[in-house]
Amino acid sequence: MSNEQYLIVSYFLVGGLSIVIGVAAYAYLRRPFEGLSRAFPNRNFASLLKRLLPAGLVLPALAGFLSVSYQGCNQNYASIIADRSYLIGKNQEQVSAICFFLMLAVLAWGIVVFLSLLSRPKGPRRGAPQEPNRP
Amino acid sequence: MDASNVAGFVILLALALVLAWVIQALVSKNLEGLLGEILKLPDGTTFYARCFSLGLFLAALAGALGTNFTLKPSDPFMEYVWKVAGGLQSVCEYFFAFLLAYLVLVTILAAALRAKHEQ
Repeated sequence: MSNEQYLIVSYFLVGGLSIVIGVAAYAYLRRPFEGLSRAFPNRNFASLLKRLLPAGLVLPALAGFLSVSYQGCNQNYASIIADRSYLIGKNQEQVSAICFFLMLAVLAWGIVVFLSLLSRPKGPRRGAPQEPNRP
Repeated sequence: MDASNVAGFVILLALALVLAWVIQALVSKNLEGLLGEILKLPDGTTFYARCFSLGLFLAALAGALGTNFTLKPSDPFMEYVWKVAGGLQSVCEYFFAFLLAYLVLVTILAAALRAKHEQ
């Protein structure tokens, strides 16, 4: 396989991998997040967050992949594809950036859940038996 | 990439993952107890515990994969050791950043929700 073929194949493979990693993170967090969203104050807000969770994990992973540039200072296409170890290093950098961006996204979702729980009204939860009205 | 570089990379990756597993094993029980106490929601405890383990392993992978092994086969053994050590430093920095952010989050969570429960 020539270096140019390697560049094309590895670029699209790592791009696909970023989506797979984002979806895997979503699958790991989906069930507890759905259970937790029942405690959120507003049903529409809960369903909005549930729908945003996959995008909020896949897009940062994709952003991490796209954040790595092959073109440094004074580097043209020919010099990029001349060195196989440079291409491998860039692939590693892309996967590293995917993991880093996803880590930041997980922390950001932790903050979102925290703020949602903070705005939860005190008192019996929806569906819980309520106390009879006092005179 | 020759076999020595691959071996160095695999050793670094294994060390990073083992370090993440050790940190998780050390704190997971107490963290779940704390989260259960402050959140009083089983799903909330699971969510934050999973965020912790996921973030920790992502930090390990981000640190280890960011290190590029481009040594020559003729390079001395200690060059490989220093390269692995440099990668481990990066892994530790990612761990530190993640743990710091998570700790701040859990501290604010505990303070705010405890104050709310006491109202």
